[in-house]
Amino acid sequence: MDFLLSEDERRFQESVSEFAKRHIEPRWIEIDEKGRIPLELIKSMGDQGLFAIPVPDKYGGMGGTVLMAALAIEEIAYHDPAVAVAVYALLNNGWPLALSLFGSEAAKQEILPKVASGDAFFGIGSTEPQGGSDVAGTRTVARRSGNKWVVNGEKTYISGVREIQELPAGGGFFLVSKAESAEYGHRNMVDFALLPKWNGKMRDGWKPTVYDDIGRHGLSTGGFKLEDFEVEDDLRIGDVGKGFYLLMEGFNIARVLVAAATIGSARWALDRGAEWLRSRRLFQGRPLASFEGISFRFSELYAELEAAKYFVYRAAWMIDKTYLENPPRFKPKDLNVPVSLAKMKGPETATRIYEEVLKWLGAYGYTKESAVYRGWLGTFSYTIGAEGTQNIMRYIIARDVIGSEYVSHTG
Amino acid sequence: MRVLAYADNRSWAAQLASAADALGGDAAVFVPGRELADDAAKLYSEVFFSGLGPFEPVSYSAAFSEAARSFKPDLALLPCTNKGRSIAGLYSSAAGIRSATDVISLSARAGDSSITVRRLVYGGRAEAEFLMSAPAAICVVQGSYPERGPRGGPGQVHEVPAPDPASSVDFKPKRREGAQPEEAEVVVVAGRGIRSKEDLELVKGLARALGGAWSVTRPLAADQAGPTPGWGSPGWS
Amino acid sequence: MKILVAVKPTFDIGQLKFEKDGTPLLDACPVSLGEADRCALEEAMRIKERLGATVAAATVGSSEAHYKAIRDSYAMGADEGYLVKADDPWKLDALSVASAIARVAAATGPYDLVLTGSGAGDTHASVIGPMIAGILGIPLIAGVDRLEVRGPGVVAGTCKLEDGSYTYEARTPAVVTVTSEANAPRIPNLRAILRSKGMQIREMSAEELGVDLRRLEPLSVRKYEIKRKRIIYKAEDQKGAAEASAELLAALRSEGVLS
Repeated sequence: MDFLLSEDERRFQESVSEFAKRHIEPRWIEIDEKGRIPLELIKSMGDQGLFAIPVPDKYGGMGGTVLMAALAIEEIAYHDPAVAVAVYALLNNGWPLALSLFGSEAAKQEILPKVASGDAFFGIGSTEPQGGSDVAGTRTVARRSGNKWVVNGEKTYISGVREIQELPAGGGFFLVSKAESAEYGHRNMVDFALLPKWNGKMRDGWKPTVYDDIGRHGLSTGGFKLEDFEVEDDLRIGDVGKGFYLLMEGFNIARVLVAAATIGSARWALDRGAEWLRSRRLFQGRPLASFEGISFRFSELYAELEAAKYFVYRAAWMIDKTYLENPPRFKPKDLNVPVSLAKMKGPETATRIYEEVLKWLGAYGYTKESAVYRGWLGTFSYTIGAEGTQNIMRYIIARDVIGSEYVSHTG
Repeated sequence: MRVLAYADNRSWAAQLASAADALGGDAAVFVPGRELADDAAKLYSEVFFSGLGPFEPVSYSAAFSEAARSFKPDLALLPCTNKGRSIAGLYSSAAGIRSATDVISLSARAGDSSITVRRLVYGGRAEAEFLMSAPAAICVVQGSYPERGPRGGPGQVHEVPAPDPASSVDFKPKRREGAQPEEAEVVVVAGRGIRSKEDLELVKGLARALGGAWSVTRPLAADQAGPTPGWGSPGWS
Repeated sequence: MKILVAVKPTFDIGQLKFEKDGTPLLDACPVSLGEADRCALEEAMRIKERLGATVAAATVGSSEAHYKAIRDSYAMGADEGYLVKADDPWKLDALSVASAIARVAAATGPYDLVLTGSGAGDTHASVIGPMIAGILGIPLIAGVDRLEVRGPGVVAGTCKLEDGSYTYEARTPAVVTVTSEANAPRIPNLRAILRSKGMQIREMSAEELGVDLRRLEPLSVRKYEIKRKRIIYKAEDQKGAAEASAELLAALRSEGVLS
């Protein structure tokens, strides 16, 4: 067992760290304050090859691995603790990979190169007003009509709704819907690459709104109604009836990248905390670090962060051995627990670290000037539970480890 | 130890003179112009000069080498500046001798022709002590030796023919903006209350209006070197 | 055009730590391609992209970091890479390194330009470039922050020196040393990094090059502590203050603190 990164992984990690230090770190606060990632930054990230990292070369991707994507997201988040840029990057790594694994050749050729170059966005469109976790309860319906599908429904709490409208090519979502009827169940679902704006043109039948989040302002969260939105059949991702299962596989990929973002941000917070503990002196010149109530808490948080980090790397490594190697070492269902562990630990560890660091900073931490609160709010969205709630992660682990016959409450 | 120094201003001539004193023995200096030669003659018993144009490393080091051919030094001492290091590199490779830069002290060992050299390494974070044998070329860090005052009668001055430059040179002297804090009657100083680059421009503007100089307190000087909120960079202090 | 870039892995001195007795902990210090060397490679790449050129990278030393330095040069776009084998490379003296590079240039050239960073962050500060020029007997432009090819066989470089700005124009072949302010070196993307892994590095020995590699063993290396001089300038009144200030100013000037 070799716990060290390979030389290529380290060199790639250093290159992303340098890019992030040069181009992202000077602007992360402004991005969070103004609520926008500048389009030239997105484009330069595309030029640098930070999107579609695990997508094969022939579709414009970097031909890398999910582990490399996780390393990149972690470094970006370290330099963007409010994580808007990191989340933008992770969405445009995870969901393009899912498209590359399950989509049609025509869809891949059409969509992936533009996502890799930073000209288009490709995220996830799953959550609906009546529920996110209960995917079997999806009410968006797609009905076949000749060579295309007509989709009706509504999605909420979707990232990228504003960005799609502003990017030159546009973009869309890995969209999950029911096939023909909205009946409850797992077996009647179908996925699409739904592109509300493509090649610079808006399509009919897509009605978006943008929400006002409490944090991670740089990346938009919004919703949209689909009113007889037409999707060509070659943009269907996978077979009819397989939609639920392919979506879950896609979530496994995206969740490990989410965890990577939270640990990158948390590492930044803990580094700032350590600096503070060295320099802040009280009670006749003693550094804060010399008070064991404080330094012991630091050690505990450091341990949690290291553990969360290795959960991420291990899950990413397993995903690579499932999808990017032939013959695969693991089956997709083997990924459920490792990924859920990473996605459970990462955001919650980040939240605990931010809380503690803010306590060490005291009143200064409560001011906007300290900027630490931005990372706290940014990562907290994942503790609340985006890309899969924290309780669903617990459910998955309990179901797979204790046994679904005892744990399952779905039919 | 016979020492041949290179100096392109009075201060360096004086500093390297006291470095040569510390080594004992005869010392001469090479300077790139007649005017400086007369000044240098008050410090050294032998002065070489060449009527050279604006600084060009190949011709300057060729003239220095010519002086060295005549004076036959055990050690060449040069300023540890961009110009000094260029000349040291060219001279030592031409003469096939060792060189050391960033030297902060030198001492001759009694009885042999070697010197103990202390030089700064790792970006100035560490110092290394070496034994070097003559002949060698040494670049000395500014301020390592005090400026020695004039001594004795005027030294002998020899002219060395000026070689042609290897590159053409277009020189633009440094133009100093506004008054210098140490000379100005009025100094406007920005302190911690100044939070942004825009506010700093106000300070500069006031200094200009008063015909004075502007400066900053130490914490701000440190901040300018690193990221702090409000200076257009992230981070926190 | 053919360009040779001499590169060297250097210690990241910002991360250098010391033992209690002042011994530097070099084994624990990260090593990477120096900033000025990367700027030199970047200048070479810009010339290659604008005018067409073959760019070769060369280094002297057999440590893992030296091989990585050539691979990193490939990732930035270099076409060829030469490594002169040498054990214990950190102790090599500057003239040996410069001679080895000059021999590589003679053996694999002819080159129109030899570029290098104007000062390694750790040792050999700024002499390697001038030494290479001296050995090859070609013009030297040292410390450029702007380099341009003005025409066939003519290059010009602008250097900010202590007393002003110097622009030199020289006929090639020439040696140019590049400062870390010259440009923002490109950051290789993953494809370039993966591609660089498979590229051959041509190893050369000191014997085949006919160069004698000499090492300088230091008597000691320890943390540099600046000693406080603790000189007090006292003044009892205005006149005394003016005198004391003048004295202080003169002292600061002679220390090189004020220019």
